[in-house]
Amino acid sequence: MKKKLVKRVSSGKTGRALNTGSQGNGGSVGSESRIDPAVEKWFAEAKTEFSPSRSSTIPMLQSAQTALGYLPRDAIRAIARHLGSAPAVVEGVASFYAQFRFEKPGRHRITVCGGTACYVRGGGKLMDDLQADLKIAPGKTTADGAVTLESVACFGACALAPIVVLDGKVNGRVNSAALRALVGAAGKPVRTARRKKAGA
Amino acid sequence: MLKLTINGHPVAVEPGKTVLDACRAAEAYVPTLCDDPTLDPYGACRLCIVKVEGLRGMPSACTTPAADGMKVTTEDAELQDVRRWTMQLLLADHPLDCLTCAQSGNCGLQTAAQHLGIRERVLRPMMREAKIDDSNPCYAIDMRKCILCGLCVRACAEVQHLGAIELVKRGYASAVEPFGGGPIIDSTCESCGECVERCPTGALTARTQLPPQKEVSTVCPYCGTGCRILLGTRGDTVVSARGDRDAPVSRGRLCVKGRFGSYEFVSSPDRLKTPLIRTADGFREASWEEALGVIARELKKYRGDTFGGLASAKVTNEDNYVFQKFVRAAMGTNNVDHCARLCHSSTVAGLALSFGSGAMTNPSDDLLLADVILVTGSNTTENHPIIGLKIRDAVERGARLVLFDPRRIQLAEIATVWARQKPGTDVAWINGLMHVILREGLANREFIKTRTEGFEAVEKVVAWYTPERVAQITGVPAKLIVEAARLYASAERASIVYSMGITQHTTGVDNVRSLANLAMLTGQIGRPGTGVNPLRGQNNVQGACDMGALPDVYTGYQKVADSGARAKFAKAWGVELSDKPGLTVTQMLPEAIDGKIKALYIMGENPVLSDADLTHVVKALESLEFLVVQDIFLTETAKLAHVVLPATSYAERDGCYTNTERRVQLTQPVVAAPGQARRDWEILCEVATALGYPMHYASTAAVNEEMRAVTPSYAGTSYARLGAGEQLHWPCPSEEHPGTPILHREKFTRGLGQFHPVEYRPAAEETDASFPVVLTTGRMLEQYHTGTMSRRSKGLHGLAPGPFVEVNGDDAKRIRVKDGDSVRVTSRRGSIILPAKVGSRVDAGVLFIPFHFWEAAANVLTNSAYDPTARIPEFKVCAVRLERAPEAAASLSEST
Repeated sequence: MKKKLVKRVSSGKTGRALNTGSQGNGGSVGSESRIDPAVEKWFAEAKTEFSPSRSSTIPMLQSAQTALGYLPRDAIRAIARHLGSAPAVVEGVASFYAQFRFEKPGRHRITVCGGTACYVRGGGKLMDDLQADLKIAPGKTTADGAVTLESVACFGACALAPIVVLDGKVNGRVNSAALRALVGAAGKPVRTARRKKAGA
Repeated sequence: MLKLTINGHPVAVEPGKTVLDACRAAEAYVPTLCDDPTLDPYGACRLCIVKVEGLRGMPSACTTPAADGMKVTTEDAELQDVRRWTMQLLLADHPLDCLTCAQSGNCGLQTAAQHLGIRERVLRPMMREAKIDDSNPCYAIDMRKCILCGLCVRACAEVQHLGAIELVKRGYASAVEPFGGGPIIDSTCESCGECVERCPTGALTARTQLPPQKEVSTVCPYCGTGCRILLGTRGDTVVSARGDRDAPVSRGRLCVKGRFGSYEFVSSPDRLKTPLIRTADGFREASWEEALGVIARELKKYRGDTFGGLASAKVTNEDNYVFQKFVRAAMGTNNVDHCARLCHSSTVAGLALSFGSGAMTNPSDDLLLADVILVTGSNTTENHPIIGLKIRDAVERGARLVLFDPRRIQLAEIATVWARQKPGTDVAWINGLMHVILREGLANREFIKTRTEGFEAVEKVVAWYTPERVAQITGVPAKLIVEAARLYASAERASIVYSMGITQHTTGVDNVRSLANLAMLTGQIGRPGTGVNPLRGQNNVQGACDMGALPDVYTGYQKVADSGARAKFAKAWGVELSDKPGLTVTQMLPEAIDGKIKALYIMGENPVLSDADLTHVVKALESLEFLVVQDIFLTETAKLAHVVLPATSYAERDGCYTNTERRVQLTQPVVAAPGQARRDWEILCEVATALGYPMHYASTAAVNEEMRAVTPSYAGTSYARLGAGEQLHWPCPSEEHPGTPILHREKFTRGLGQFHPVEYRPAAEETDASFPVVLTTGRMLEQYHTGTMSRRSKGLHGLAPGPFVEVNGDDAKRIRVKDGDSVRVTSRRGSIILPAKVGSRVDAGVLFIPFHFWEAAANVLTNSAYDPTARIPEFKVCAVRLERAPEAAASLSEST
């Protein structure tokens, strides 16, 4: 008997972003508007690491977010293609979980605690100030990509209330002045630019 | 059978049914919002809760399998109380604007609330943000009214296999959204409307439909699949369309054309309502008497071979029977043909030579039984969408799809092998497949020996076609040829599906015969799930061919050159008949220019847009001394006529249509004809009578009786049987015969299957320095043919408003055009200007233009060179030049 061939193959030169796909594995994630090279790099490894079954959905989403910092649409398309599913279906799964982000996070992340202790000690006002200063709602990122603002229900350090976390560093007993200093440090475009240059 | 007791009443259901099915069998109403018999049970709405003796709690009836001896209670105070609170939770964020809601009266939520006696909203309203998506011209989305039952999401995934929409986020933020949350029009949605049909509330509503007073089932007027539509009417206006779930072919499924494009044209104000007679400055309205008088006076001059008739693949079998009888008996010539010449004449000729019958060998449901489906030259999901769904169903179940198509059509996304051959190289790759099959010992020697003849010649010819040589000719890598051959030949059951990508070539008959060779070589024919399956393009193109609207055959393919057949028809019709096979449409038009054809009678066709090299077609029609056009609109062709006669549309007539699977389907009129429009066969009878050949029938059924008396393959397809719901595929030679869904089972219609060696010949027009690009033409999902019907639908027009040319990104870059820029496409015959759609759907060096749009008519460019046997023009290949159009191009279309 001849070996049954199940590998997906095609002679097409360039691929189009996948709409659907009831089967199929392997294959490249072609796209008309060139896909994000970071996604391509991640997917090249991920497609060998994860089996093309629906049970790989969440592990693959986690892997993509770890590698890329969030879930770009190209990554969701790639996962859908790998799993033989539709991108909307994979997105439906991902969007159910709070752990997944769909927007590129800012270079800095500010988290304001909205727990009871922090709130009564002015956490709410801190959040209002931040929203006014940065002109974004919680969960969003400033247009220049500098800062992502988040809130958390309780950080668990109520003795230090109100808490503001900047890039993983916990700041306790924050008042308006301290907050401004913090944000200034985070959002200073000069500093970011210099760092970019140094890295280039 | 399982025996249950529902509210004390005994009921029996089949194993596998649910408690909900049992409740319905017992006629006990159980409110549900998320159940649909065509979808898997889901259990989301929690309204169909019941009590089952011995089971704890209140299980949902839709997800609980029925079991023997179950005692079920569907309603008591406690159940109703829980249901009421569930409803209150649903109503807490639902607008109570029932009076102005499109779904009112047909709303599942409303029905359930009424049943539960809910009179007020008791919970604090928590209205969702208005999220109205107005992007789709066929249906409206108002997410405020969504109850998250999941019916739309499941229909999209389970029925359409698309997954264009999904339930996203959770809790209060839950919503149904396409990928990325953008407007639905930018998603992969195919606008089939399966979601709209199932939505229980006003969240998804069809824009151009109203609740009907009455619904009548008829056959869809578009492609040859033969789906049945329930047309809803108010008086004589068609106001809605939905799938007929009792229909065996489509089982309730419809595509965007059937659902949103099948009714507006029927009641269009542009419909022809009176006969028109040409005057010096246009047309004037005339009475039937006057128009028929003019026609009789003129046509008398052209009896014999200076007259020609074009029948129609859009009208019934009865209309076509009467048409060819009119041409043959009243006008005394066999010059009768129709647009099948332009789509599948290569099939009719090719398969008749190979197998003895030129039609689809297996029914479309057989695709679900195939292990491997080889699709070539058919963009099935766009042009035969419901058969396309059957292919998707099959792939979902594990069948493997092998696709040979120059374009990256949607099927390429689910194909195991997709090979992109250069247009016009089909014989080469098919011979290549056979070469590999023979080399690897995968041929079915037993089948070849017992069922076929002429194999040796084919064996000799294909020996040259090694995968490497084939790769040179076709551009398909050798390894794909090998893989495709192995997949097809080693399958238990493999089916070939093809369409105009195979037939519309100067090598059309060769292509068809090559596919027939391939099927016979492997014995993939004559069994369920196998066969050679040409998909016919129009709703009655099979029937029009069967009725003898072809120049060389009477009904049922009885040859006019055969003296026995001729004598039979001469006797039946009481007139001497010509023994000379007539001219094809592709011959009649050039002969009109030469003055050999002087008068034409065209019924329901628009050759000015549909035929190749249309500048030439217009010239031919203008050269005629007399032209009669019988149609429902004043088409581009009708505008050239001397007399125009108003006919009925599909919704206004009765009669039979034969779909692509040879299934004969009976229809009834849905509404009355507008103005003075008459049925086609009635008009023809009057014309014939006025010409001195009396034709009278009491009814359409009487026409059918006469037709069956002279047509052995249709003899058993009586109105009585069809009306009783029998599903009959011809040949059906007697009233007792069950019909023949699968052809060539024990032996081929011609006895032994005839192998025919075919060598590859290049297309008639090859690319050269001045015309370096290959143009291929075709259709698209949202439009149909020359647009006479489909372009009158607001929905379809909104989805596909105008012409475009698909250009590969590399070619676009070369001439510096971006997506949407105007380009000029020029062939040796003409030139058109239209916007470019840049992408990778076509390969570099290939262009695709749909032929629906008069503004930039693809057939200005196409080559009328035709196949020597079938005389089908080469619509699929011509050499063109692609240029950037001057920015100030004022006119959209012009000729050179």
